[in-house]
Amino acid sequence: MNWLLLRSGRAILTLLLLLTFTFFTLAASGDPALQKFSPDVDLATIAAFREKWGLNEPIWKQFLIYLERLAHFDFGMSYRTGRPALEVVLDRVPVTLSLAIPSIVLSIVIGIPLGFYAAMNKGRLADRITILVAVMGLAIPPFLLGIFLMYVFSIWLGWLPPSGYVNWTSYIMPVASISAVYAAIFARFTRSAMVEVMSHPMIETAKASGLATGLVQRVHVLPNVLLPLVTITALEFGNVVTFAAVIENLFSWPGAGTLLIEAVAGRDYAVVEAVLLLTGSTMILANFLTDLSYGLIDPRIRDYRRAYRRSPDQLPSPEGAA
Amino acid sequence: MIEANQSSGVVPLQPLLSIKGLGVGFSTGTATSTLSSISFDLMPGEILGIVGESGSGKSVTCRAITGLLPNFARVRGEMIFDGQSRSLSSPRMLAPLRGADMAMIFQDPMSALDPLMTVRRHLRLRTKEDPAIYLRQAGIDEPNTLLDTYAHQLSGGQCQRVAIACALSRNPRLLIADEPTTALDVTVQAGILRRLKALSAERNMAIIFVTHDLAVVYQLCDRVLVMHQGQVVESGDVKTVLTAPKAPYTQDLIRAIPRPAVRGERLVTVPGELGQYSFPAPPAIAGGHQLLEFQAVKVQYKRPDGSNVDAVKDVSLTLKRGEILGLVGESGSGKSTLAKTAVGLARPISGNVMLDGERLDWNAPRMQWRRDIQYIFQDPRGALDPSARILSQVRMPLDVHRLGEASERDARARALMRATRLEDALFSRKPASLSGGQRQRATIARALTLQPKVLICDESVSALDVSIQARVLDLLMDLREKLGIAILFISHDLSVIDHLCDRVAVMRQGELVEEGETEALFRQPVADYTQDLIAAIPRLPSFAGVQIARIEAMA
Amino acid sequence: MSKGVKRRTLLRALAASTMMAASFSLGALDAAAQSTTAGGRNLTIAVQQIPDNHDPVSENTNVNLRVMYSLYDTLVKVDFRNGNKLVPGLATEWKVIDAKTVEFKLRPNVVFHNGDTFDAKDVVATFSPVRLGLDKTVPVESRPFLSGIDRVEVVDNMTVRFQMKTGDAIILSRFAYYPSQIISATALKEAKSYQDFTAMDAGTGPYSLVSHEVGKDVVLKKFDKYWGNPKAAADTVTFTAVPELATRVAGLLSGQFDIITEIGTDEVAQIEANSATGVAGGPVANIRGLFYDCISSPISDPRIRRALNFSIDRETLVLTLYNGRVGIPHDWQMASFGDLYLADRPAAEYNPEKARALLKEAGYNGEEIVYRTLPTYYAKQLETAQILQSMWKAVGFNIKLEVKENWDQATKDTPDRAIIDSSFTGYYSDPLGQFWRRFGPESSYTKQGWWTISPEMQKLGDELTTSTDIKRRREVFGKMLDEFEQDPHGGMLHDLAQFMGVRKDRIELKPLPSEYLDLTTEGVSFK
Repeated sequence: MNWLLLRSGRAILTLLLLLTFTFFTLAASGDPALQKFSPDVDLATIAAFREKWGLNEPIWKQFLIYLERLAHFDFGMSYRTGRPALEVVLDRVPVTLSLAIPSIVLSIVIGIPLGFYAAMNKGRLADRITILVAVMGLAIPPFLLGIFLMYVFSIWLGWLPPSGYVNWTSYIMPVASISAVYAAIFARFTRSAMVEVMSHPMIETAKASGLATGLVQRVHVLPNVLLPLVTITALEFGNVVTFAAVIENLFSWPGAGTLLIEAVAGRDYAVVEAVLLLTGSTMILANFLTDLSYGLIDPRIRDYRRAYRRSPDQLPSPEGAA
Repeated sequence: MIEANQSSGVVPLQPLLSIKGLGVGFSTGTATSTLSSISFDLMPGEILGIVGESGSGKSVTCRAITGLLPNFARVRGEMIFDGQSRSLSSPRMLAPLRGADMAMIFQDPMSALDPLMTVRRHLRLRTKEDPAIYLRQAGIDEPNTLLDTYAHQLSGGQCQRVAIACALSRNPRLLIADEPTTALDVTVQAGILRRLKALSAERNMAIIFVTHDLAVVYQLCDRVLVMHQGQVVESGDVKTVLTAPKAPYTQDLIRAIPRPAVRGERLVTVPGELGQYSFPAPPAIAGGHQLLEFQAVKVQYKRPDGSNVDAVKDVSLTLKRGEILGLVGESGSGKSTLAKTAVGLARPISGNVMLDGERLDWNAPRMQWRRDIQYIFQDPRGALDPSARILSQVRMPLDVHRLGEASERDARARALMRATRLEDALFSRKPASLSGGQRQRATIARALTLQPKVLICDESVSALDVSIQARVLDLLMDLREKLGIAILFISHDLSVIDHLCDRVAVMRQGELVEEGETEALFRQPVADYTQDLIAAIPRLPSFAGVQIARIEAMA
Repeated sequence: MSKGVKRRTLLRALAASTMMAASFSLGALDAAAQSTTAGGRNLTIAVQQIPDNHDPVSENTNVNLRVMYSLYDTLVKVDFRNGNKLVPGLATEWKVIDAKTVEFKLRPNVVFHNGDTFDAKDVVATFSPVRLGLDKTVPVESRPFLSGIDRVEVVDNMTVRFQMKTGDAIILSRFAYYPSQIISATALKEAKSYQDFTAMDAGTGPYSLVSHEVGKDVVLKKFDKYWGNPKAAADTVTFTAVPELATRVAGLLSGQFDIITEIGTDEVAQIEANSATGVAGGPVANIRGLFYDCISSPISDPRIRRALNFSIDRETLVLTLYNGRVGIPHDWQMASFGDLYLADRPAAEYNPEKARALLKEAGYNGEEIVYRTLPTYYAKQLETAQILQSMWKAVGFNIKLEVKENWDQATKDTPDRAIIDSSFTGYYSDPLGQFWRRFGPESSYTKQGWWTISPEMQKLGDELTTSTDIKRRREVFGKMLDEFEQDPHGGMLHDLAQFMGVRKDRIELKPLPSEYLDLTTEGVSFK
């Protein structure tokens, strides 16, 4: 349980640093009052606004007040809407998830088999074409791809609605724009992980034992590739928010990404911080779950942890032989 | 079982395996290596050794037989297995033979097993029978305790036995073993060799045993095939080939093997050859007898959680002037850790390291110590900068310490490189284009530039082929003779130690087990552990100081 | 032609496969989003942003003004289509008793969206202290417009009288323009806090509020009990937030939207190329200009500032950036000023020679002058700034362009502050709502020390504010413009125009020369 405590402590510290950094950066680069009101608004209005939201305090004090409230799970109020920041953010999360989850799933469903296929045909034409496509997927920014899709499917062919949620076809372009990048990442990653596992001596041993190629792939290659894949999936899931912000904005989905853009522009601290806290916690949780799954998949890590918990004095090295 | 249709003791007339005109060509980019017209026969139950140095084609031969060569290999030749002829050029035709007819085990036992899979599952994939049977056959006494373990929970020897069990589980008639004991400690190796010999007899199973170690071949095999540069240079009965080699290459190879019979003698050098090289003048040797002293040195390693492990437990050891002291032990015995305290790479928590009567306190290091003690690692590749020419690398210590004029430094570096038998043509090369032996000699030359008093060689020849190893060993002896350098020679290879060293210290689990003059220690080891170690050394026939019986088909 | 066909087929195949790949992801779908497009006369308007609330005094943005016009009415109505004439709105008649007092007779039988009937209490609530910015805890934007109100007197249930603190030349206009939209007293009373009130639908306008999802959309529907004429043109109107211009255009061209706002001149050609879509819009009673920091800055010498103004070639600017689609105002005035429009004043002069001479006279030696701009707050803002920079450079100015992220950074008072971008909305059809609002004593810039107002100017301004004599006011305004030209606190560039894309196969849009969006039958007709 020791390492759980240690991890939680580290996670909280990470979040705290993230909060501090964004809070002061935002504060240093713009006054919320002047973001909400135009510059030619009456000074009394700005004064009233500052008074109302406690913006007259020095910035460090504002931050301490914010932290104190946070300790009581009060995420503060949104200046823009006057509603609790957490509520504002949570309202938008389902939209983001409804984009992010299909995108991730689609990327996995396309990317991993593609990577497998490329690795199986390593060095052949099929491999090179796959890699080329994957590199293109990585090289084209999702925003540009989105614009391109919009041009073709909305303007030219008139098949798909470009903006917001109309019906299920609204999912196609945003999901495709995000998935293109992720499928490429997954394909490349799967391929290299596969190639590495397939050059492992155990594969030759299995082949020398006369095990069929399909069996070797199922029992040896797949589980061993799974470990790095789980890692990258968890990692990339956190990154989705970055892409979601761009893609949500482009396709006018009112998700957490668009909210973040609006909130940063409006210096709506509480909302920005709440989005970051939520994203940060999700990433930390994803990492934690990844670590847990390592233990399930890899007996070496399981042993390492068990030994650590039982008696830290007789610790086997995680690589096996000392 | 296969034995059923063959009555034991009767030698069948027909070979189990015949290889005719096997040739392999690789065309990957620029590198093209070939194997040309290899032919041999293998009788059922026979053990055939294939011996050769790296690049001789022995592993390629095995993989060609089993159809495991990569797709881009072009294979020619024919194989008759169990009376049935197959073309070697199509790996697909060979695939059905794998497992049931011929099995294979490899050098690195740890990575032969899937780290995510239990021993039981490894065997289950291959057989429906009780996996314990095969583990027992592979020499694991209590197989049931092992069934649910993973590779990382096993020792190297256990892993190799599991791999053998896997190979046995489909009852093959031919087992191909590619350097299966090279990565193992000597006592473990002995056990596995005994087991393989017994298995061959029990099951009438033929074995092709690939190794670079002639002594192992002598102990295990019936016949031997000596390979060199993709060709069979000599073949025949083991005893004949090893005692009366006909091919010059085999003769050289055997001569290059370090052994007590020629203790202290050069293995390769033509006498007088050394005269043409001039070493820098030896440093004046003065003062007491002891040069490097470890006084009750204790080293602990800290784990991430803060607890400690004792790697070296109060070891005292003395290296005298002009002496070659062998430090022996199996992996994890603490021999390297002890040696590293002399150069500050490991810090003792108690005890002292003395150099020439001066205490080495690496918390307040002196430049002079770094010059006086030089450390040479196992892997010369890691010790050399891959992007710099070796001449400048050999010269570098002089540049760093700003010793002499630039031209003097250059001359000195060149002289040293010649002294370590590196030809002038190699001076301006980069490490990648040198052989392993050449690279190791370059690191030795570099270590010598500062005229050290002590040279610590940490498994410095372990990764080298026999003939190259011989050159390095010769060089070390020259250095001691000409320069009076004291050498602490760390190795797990007792034959090398026996050949090279004046005195030997044996370590086990961080403790010093025994210490003494080489000859005495090898003849009359006191500690049980030392006795086991010495007994386990594979030895060659006429060269062995004490003739030890070949392994009999038992155990 | 086979090549074209082939390409099309390929793309179709590609599209189909993408669709198939994505179709599995049909998770929980929000069917409600479809409801507004089913049946009836529905209007979908893609805007770059939707307002955060619906209270007129809480949010003075074009985003809010656009929606506000459909939700609220004012006592006096501006007939924008008829020379900005003031006509009866929620007041049936009025009497300007003197320059400080006006009395309104209220319209009977007007129903609020919330069911209340309109009377004097609602007028009192509309101009209650909290909405005039007198409550320090509630930030509202009404002070620059309504701070002159001294008190509201209820004469009887259907008659109210306003008493101003001083004489007000445009006393009637105060109750015709922003932010005098009448709200329901009950709504204000029932709201738990003012913040709550801002989210309410408290108007009497032709449309009522159906829903408002911050960041997503605002949905209005026709208010059947609307008192006036013309009535709402559509059954429902959805203002949907589409921040990306490219997406708005794509949505218009693909038929998802009926109207899209804030298109640039670059998109005009693309939209007009499609036979089903067209462009509407034009000037919106706003002038794009600059503010100069006139105190202890590199341009504190009025001659340097005059030189800045003489160096601007407005014709070229407008031609380059807007293809001539926007006009150049006749000095600091708009045609909508009506009686106060000084048609005979000379146009702003472009005279580099004079600029150079003034610079020489002022002893300007190439000192660095900082010009802070934002990249995209106004249309083509950065491009405008770059062109200005080169025009100034041509006469010998050393201008350093600093691109800032927001207004806080742009207006930050540092010693090098000199020039910033600005715009001059004409709130009333009068210089008081534009020129004097931005350069007069009540301007936030004056208060923040960008300049001091000379006593002569102040005197003229006081007269312009209080006098009701039109001839005299024309004279005074003319003098003020002359005075300003000698010591300019800002620079005038061009009219601001707003263009909208319209599905002309479905509707005809006749926009107002204002930031209001008219969605009554006068503004929109379905085909």
